[in-house]
Amino acid sequence: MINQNINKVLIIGGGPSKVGQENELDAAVFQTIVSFKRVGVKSIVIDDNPYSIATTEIQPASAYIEAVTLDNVVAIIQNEGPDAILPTLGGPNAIKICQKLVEMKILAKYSVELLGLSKAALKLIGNPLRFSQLMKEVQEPIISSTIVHSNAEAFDLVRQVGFPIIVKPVLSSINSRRTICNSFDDLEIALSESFTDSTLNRCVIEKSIVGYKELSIIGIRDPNGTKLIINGVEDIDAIGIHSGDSIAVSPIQTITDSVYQRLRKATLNIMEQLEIIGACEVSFALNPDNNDYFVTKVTPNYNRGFALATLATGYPLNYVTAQLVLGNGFADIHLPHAYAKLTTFMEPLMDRILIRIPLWPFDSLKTVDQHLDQSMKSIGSAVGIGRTVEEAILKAMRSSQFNPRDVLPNMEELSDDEMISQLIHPKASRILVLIEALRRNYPVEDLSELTKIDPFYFKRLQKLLAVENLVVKEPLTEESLRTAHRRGFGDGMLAAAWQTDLDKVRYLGKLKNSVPTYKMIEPSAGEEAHSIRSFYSSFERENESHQLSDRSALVIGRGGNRLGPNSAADYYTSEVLIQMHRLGYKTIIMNNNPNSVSLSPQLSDKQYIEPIQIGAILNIAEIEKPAIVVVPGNRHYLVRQLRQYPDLKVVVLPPDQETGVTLPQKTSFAMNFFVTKDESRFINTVKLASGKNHELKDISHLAFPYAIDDDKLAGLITDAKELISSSYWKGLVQILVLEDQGLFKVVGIRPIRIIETIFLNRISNVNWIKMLVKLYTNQLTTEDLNKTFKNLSFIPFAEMKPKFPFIDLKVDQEVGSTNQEVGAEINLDPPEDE
Amino acid sequence: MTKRYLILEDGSSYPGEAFGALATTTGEIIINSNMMGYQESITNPIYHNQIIVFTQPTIGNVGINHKSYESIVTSIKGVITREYSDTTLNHQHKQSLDTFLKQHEIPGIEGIDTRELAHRITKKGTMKASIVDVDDEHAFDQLNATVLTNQQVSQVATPKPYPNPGNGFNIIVIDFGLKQGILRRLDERDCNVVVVPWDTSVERILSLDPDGIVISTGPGNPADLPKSIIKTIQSLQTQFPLLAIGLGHELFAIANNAKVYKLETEHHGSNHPVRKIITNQVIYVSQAQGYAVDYDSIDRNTLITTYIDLYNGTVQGLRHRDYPAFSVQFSPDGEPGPTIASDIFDEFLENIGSQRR
Amino acid sequence: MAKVIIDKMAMQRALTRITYEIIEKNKGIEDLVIVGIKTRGIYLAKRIANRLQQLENVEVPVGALDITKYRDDIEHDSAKETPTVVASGDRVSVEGKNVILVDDVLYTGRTIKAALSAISELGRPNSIRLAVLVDRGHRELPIRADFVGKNIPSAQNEKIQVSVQEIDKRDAVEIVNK
Repeated sequence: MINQNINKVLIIGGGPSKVGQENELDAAVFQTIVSFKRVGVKSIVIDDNPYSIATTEIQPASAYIEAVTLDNVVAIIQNEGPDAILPTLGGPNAIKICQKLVEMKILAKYSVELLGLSKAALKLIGNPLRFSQLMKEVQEPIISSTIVHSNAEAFDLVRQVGFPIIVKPVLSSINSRRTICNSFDDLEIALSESFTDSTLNRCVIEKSIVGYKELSIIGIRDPNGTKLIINGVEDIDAIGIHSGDSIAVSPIQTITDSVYQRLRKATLNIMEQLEIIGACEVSFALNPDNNDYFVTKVTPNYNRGFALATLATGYPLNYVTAQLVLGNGFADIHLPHAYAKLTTFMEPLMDRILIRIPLWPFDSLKTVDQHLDQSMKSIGSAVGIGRTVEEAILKAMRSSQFNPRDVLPNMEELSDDEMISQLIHPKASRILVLIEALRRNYPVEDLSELTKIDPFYFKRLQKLLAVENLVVKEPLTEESLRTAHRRGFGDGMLAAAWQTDLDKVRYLGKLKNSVPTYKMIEPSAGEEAHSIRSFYSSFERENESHQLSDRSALVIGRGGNRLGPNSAADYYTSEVLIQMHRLGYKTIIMNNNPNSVSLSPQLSDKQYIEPIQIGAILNIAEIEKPAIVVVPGNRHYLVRQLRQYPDLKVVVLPPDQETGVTLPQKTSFAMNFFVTKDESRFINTVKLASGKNHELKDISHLAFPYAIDDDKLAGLITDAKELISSSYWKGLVQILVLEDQGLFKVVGIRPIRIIETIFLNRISNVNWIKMLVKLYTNQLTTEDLNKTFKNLSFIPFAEMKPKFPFIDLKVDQEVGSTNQEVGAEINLDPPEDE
Repeated sequence: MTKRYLILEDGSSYPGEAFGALATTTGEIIINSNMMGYQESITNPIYHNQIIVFTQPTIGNVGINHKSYESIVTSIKGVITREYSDTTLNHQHKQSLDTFLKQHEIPGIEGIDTRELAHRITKKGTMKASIVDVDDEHAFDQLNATVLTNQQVSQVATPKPYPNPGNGFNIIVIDFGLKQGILRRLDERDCNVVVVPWDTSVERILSLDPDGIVISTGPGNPADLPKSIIKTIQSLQTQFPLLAIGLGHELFAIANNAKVYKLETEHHGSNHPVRKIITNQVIYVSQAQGYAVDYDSIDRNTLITTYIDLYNGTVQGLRHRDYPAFSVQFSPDGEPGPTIASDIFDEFLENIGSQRR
Repeated sequence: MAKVIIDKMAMQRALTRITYEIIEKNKGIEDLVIVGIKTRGIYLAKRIANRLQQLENVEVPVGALDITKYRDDIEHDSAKETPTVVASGDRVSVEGKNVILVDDVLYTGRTIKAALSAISELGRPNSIRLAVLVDRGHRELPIRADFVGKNIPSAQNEKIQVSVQEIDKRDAVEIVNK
C-alpha cells in the first residue's frame, strides 16, 4: 500500500559525471520522477550536472540547479518542506549528505522521511566496521584482517586461514607495503620486514583473494518482505582487477547451481537484515578451487550494476524501485501495458547473454599508468547482447572500438615476452591479448593459470577463432557467412576480411537468407507475452521486431562513454529523442552504453542494443525504414558511410564540422545566432575561457553574460551576419570574436557545439535543440521564430566549468583540454564580489 | 559437426548440430527455464522419457560433477539448447556433458532457436517430439505413430529397498522416481532413511518401524498408477507424520478425494512467486510439474491449501486437517533452484517430534 | 552467555505447527478463543490467530490475560480483583468456548494454574487447552501443555529468554546462564 503521507520527495542528484559515474544516476532519477508522477507524487531534484535530463524534464520550479552539498540540501528542506528524501540515486556524495542529515537530526526536525534505505543500510555505506558487524549478524564470511604482534601469533593465524595471505605493517614509516605470501618461508621474511617497518611493531594479516572469481548479485525487496533476485553478473577477470575495469558477463556462467544458490541465499539474508526496500547489490569473491566464498561488498544504493541489470534483464528496476520506496508492494504496482502480468513479481529469466567491455581513456591521457589493477581506470563501457557468449563478446568488442570501422584489430606485432607480461599484468587491450595468445596456440590450461580467467571463456574465444579461420579460408561462401553471422561477426568485418565492399556482403546475406532476426529483451525467457520495445539482433529463425511506424526517426546513440563531451552528447541525444517524439515521429534509439540516459525506455518508442556500425544501422533501417536518421554529434567516418546510402535521410546535429568551419587559435567570446535560409537572428554572447591563454582547443569553461557595450556589439553583429550569409551553415551558428587591447575582431565561424547548445538551453527560456530539430525537419515557421525571439529571455548569470579525471586517474595535470573532460558543473549564482 | 533434427508433433522441424549420443529418440518436449543447474535437471527422474529444452542459452559450462546428480541413471530422451559448451580440461577429472550424454545414450542438439521453441510450446502446449537424422515424412510418421509409455514410475523407481543410515528419526521414503535432493536434505538432518519401492505394502512399511513417511517425486500422471497406492497413503497418513512431494503431493491429494489435471503447459523453473498462506510470505521455489491439483475439487473439511502459485493459481501445498500429513507440489530441496523451502523437512521432522512427545 | 535455541525461522515453524495442531485437535476452529498470557504470550497468541485467519479466512478472537494478581506464590497487598480477558478493548467471552491458552515458557506451572483460575471466574468454557513455545520442565503442579513449540530440558539456574519481534525487535529463544 502506498504511503499516503508522502506527496513531495526531494531526490538528491549525482552531480557532474566522473570516473565510475556516467549518466546512469541521472537516468535513474529521471525514471523515478516518471514513476512518482504516475501515482501523483511530486519530485524535487537538486543537481548541478548541466547534462541532466532529470532536471530538464521536471517542472522548472522543482529543479534546483545547485551544487549537491549539505548546506544546499538543508536549505531546500527548509524552503520546500518535502515529506521525504531519496538519497539512493545520487552516488556516494548523496549518501554522505544524508548520513549527516540523520546525524544532525535534521530529518527528524523537519519530519522528512528517509526513503529507500533503512537507517541500518544508510550507516553501512562507507563504514567497514558496520559491514563486518552486519556480516557477523547474518553469519556470512568476509575477509577479516587481524593484527598480530609476533611471528608465533602470525603463524597460528595462517595455519587457520591458509595461504595465500597478505602482510601489511601497521603505521608504516615507509609507503604502504603489502606483501603476498604463499609459504611459511615467504611469511617469515615478510613478517621480519613488516615488523621493522611498523612504528608500532605490529602487522596486519589478511587472507589474499587475488585470483578469486568476482561475482555480484542484485536483489530487490518490497515493504512486505518479498525478495527476489534480479540478476547476477560474473567478471571474466579475477579479483585483482577492479570490477569496473573487468569484462563482465550476465547471467553468471561458470558456477554450479548449488554454489549460486548459496550466494543467492546470502544476498537475500543480507537484504532482509538491512530491511532494504528497493534493490541491493551484494558482491562476492569465490575461491574457484573449493567454492568457498566471501562477501566483499554490499551496495544498497544505485550504481552501474543496477543499470546493467536493467539492460540485461528487461526488468523495469527503476520504475519498480520508485514504487516500492513509496510503500507499494510488488503486487500493488501497475506497470505499463507492454509488460506481461505480474512482471514485478516474477524472478527475471534470461535467454540471452550480455557482455560489458570497459573503455579506458588512455588515448586522451597518455601519461596514465595503463595497467589494470585495483583502482578503476575505465570511464565508460559498451555492451554486446547475443544468444551465445561468443556473439555477445564479439558484439561488445565491435561496440567498444574507438572508430566505427567494423574490423577487429590484431596484435601480431606483440612479442611473446610482452604478451606474457600483458597476460599477467593486463592493459586496456586485454581481450585482444587473450585472443592473440590463443591464436599462437598457448594451451588453455596455461592461459587460465596465468590470467586466473575461467577456461570456459578461453574455449569460447577459441570458437571465435575457429570461425575466423573459416572466414579467411572460405571467402564469400554461404557456410562462412552464416557461421560468422551467428557468432557475432559484423558485415563490415567480413567485407574487410574478404577484401570486398559492404554491399556485396549484404547482398550475399540476403541471397542466402542470412539476415538478422531481432529478439525482445524481456524478463521471462519467452514464457510470457510481453510487448516491450527493446531488441538485440541474432541470426536465428524467429524475428520479433517489425516496422514501428511509417514516420519514424532512427537516432544513432553515442555508444560507450569516453573522455570529451560524451555525457553531454548522450544528453543531447536524449533531447533529440524527446523533441522528435513531440514533433510526431516515432523514435527509435540505437545504442550500446548501459549507463546512457538516452536508453531510458520513457525517452524513445523503441530501442536497439547494437554496435554503432554501418552494417548494423543498415540492418535496422531495413526493418524500420525510418523517415529520417539523426546522428547527434560529430562522427565523420560514420556520417560519410551513411551518406553513401541516399535512401537514408541523414541529419547530423549539430551539423558536421568536418569542413566549412573557420577556427582561430584563440578567441575571447562567442556570438550565437539562429540561422534559417532567409535570415539570421542574434541570440546572445558567451564568454569563452580556458586555462591556457584562450586557446580554442582548450575552451570548455563558459560564462554568461559577456559584457560588451551596445555600439560595439551592434557593429560586430553586422560583421557576423555578413560572414554567416557567405557561409552555408544553418541552425545554431557561432561567431568567434577575439578581443585584443579593446579591439574586437571576428575570427571564426562554426556551428554551435553540443556543450554550448546545452548551456544555451540552460540560460535561456528556449529549447534550442527543439528549434534545431524543427528547422531540420522543415517544421519551423516564421511565426514560431518571431514568437521565440519576441519572448526570448535569459537568466542573469551562469557559468559552466569542465571536470577532469586527473586526480582519480593519478595524472599529474591540472589544466585539461576539451577532449579530456569527464563532465561539467553549472553554477547559476553570480559571484558575490561583482 | 553432424547435422540432426528436432521434429515436433505439430509438423515443425528444427535443424541443429548434434552433441551427446547420435541416438534417435522420441519423447514429450518440455521447456525448462531455470537459469542454471542443467545437470540436476537432466538427471531428475521426473523428466523420464522427456526431451528438455533449456531456455538458458548455454549449457555444459561447468561440466558434470558428482555432487549435482539427482539420480545415477538418467533416462531423458534428449537435450535441446542454443549452445553446447565443452569446458573440460585434460588435467581435471571432471566429465563433460557431451561424454555424459554419450554414456547414457542421450542425444543433444545445439544451435536451435530455443526462444522460438519456448514461444511455440508455451502457445501450443506439451507435445511429442523426436530427435532424428533426417526430417523426412517417414520420421514424422514414426513420431505420430509412437505411443509414449505411461509406466514411467515402474521404469525409474528402485525395485528393491535400500538404506541410508543415520542416527535420527527413522524415515521411510517411498520411491516413485526419487530425486536425490530429498535424500540429501534428510541426510543433513541425520535421519535414518530407508528407501522402498513405490508399490511396497503398508504391512511391509509398518515392519520397518517408521517415525515418518516421505512420498517422493516422480514422473508421469498419478492417474496411471494403481489404486492400491492411494489405499496405502490413506492408511499411512493416519498413522505417521507424512510428507509428500511432487507426484507424491498429487497422490496425497487423490488419496483425500481431490482431483488432478494435466497442465496445458508444463512449468519447469523457479521464477514464480509462491505464497505460503499461513504466514502470507512469498517465496521462490524449484518447480517441475506437468500436473496440478484442481483447487475446486479440494474438500475443505479434509484438506487445507497451504501454498499457492500466484502466477497461475495452481495449488502448491496441502495439509490434512486431522493428521500431521502434508504435501508440496514444488521441490523443497531445490536442485536446481532456491533452497529457501528446505525447512519443510524441518517442519516434517518437528511434526514427528511433536507426535512422539 | 546466551545461546540461541530457537532462531527466527524455527520460531515461525513452531507457531505454524502449533496452529495446524490446534486445527487437528480442535476439529476445526469453531468456538475457538485464543488467550495470551501477558506479556509475550499475547504476541504469540496474536500470531497464532493471524495464522488461523490466513488459513481459514475466519477471525479468531484473541484475549489478553494479566495474571499477576492470581499467582499464589506472589504476595499481594490488595484484595483479588476481577480478572479480565480483553481483545482490542472489548471483553472476550469464554462461555461455552474452546479456549487455547498461550504462554511463552512453561516452567513450574504456577502461571498456568493462576490463568486457569482467572478464566474460570470469567465463565465456563467448553474446553481449555494450553499452547507454549517452550517447555523447560521442572513442573511443580500436575499441568501439561497440549501444544509445545520445543521441549528444552534446562537446569534450574539457567534462564530461558524469549524475544519477540513486536517488543524485542527480534525473534529468538535463548538459554542464559545466570
